[in-house]
Amino acid sequence: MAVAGAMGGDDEAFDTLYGLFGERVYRYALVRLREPADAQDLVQRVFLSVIEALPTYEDRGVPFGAWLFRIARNAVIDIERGRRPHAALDALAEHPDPAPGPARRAESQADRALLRDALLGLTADQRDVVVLRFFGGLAHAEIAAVIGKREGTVRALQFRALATLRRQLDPAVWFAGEPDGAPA
Amino acid sequence: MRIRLFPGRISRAAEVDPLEAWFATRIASAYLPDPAPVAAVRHTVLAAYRDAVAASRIKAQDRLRMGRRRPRWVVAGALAASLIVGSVGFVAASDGPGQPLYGLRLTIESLTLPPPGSPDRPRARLRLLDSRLTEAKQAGARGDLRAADAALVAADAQLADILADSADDTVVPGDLDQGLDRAATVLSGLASDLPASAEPGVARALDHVNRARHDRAARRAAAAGAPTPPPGADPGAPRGGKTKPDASNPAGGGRKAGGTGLRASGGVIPAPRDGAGKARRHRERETERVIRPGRPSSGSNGPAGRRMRR
Repeated sequence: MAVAGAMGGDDEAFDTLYGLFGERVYRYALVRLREPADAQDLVQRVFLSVIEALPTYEDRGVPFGAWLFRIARNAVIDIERGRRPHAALDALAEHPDPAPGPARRAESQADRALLRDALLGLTADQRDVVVLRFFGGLAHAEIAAVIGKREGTVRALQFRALATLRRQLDPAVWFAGEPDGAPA
Repeated sequence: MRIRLFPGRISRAAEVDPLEAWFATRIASAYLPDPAPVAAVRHTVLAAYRDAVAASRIKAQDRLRMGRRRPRWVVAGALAASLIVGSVGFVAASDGPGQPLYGLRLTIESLTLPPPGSPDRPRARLRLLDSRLTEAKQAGARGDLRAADAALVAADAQLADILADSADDTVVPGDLDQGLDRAATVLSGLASDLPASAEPGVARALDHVNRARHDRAARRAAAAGAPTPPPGADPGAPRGGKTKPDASNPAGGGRKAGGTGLRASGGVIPAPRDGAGKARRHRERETERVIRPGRPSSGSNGPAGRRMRR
């Protein structure tokens, strides 16, 4: 509905779309890029591209979210090409926590550093799937449309990625659940 | 220890969902981005959207105004056709009288004339008449009778068009009179320069010019209330009263209708150079040769020769 309205020139419909996807794109961009300012610029760039491409959008089995995130992913890839490998993920640990409080900040910063290291241990495809799924908030089918793989492949990639992350982030829980220590 | 019956398969309920839940919780506790930057961009994006919508509406209106876009093949076809026409026109523009594309050249020239009713149109036609006569003269000078004849036919047609255009007096009278006088001068010169075989064409064109000059003289006289000059009279002669015969001009004053008696803008055209007179003299000589006994014509295949054999 909102998509059709936005295509018809309805301000409110477009604003609704921005409300639905703006923050998700920002989170996705923040994980992939170095700086919050870069993520903010990327949100603007992505939505300007959406405005430009909206008249040509056709729902041919590709959900609007997937279409939008494909634009976002391509924009991120363009930016990342000019950077050193994995530089973007460093921002995950450096990014200041909006929630104040020294104890909470120290805890979440340590957690983010762990998360960054764990994500760096994934393959590129696994990392792509995890970021789109948990930071972009996309469904498996949408991720499949964004990265051009089958939904089953996406699920398998995600499963392997999460298993790896859990092994690295919470080894105690992992080994408690799997006494023989054999990952799936 | 859990035993897997199908090691290749992953149980969604037992393995995938708990992992997803764990990771989502982990991210939620570790990573809460500030939504302020997203809100800051919102106004910019919405303003851009409004501009784009306004621009697309204007574009849609323009498209409606301009109508449907022509298909590419129509544009390509039109371009190819114009190239062909342009190339042929370019080639035709260099074709002289008697050459294959001379007719096309004349057509193109007539298409480039000012629109009917424009005062420049008859003047342009007069220029074309001059060009045709010049072509005839040049063709005659190089002995190309076919080209000369083609140019004379074209000149004749141009003259007819000029007279048709001048019927509603769109031509400045002085211009037309001068043009006709000039044409008469050139045609008279051609009559003496060209061989006898080209004379009919010259005579025909000259006759038309003379008739046109006479008509204009008659019209002038009618407008001034004077009697209409006789058909053989010199239309260029001064109007009203008697004129003294010019000693230097045998065609002047009371000259017979047989000669041209044309007065060009600069003077009188000498009658002996008249093409019609030359043709007549040629015919007289031939007749003399036929009727004189003991002097058969060398080429005795004509009627005269047949008469001699009898």
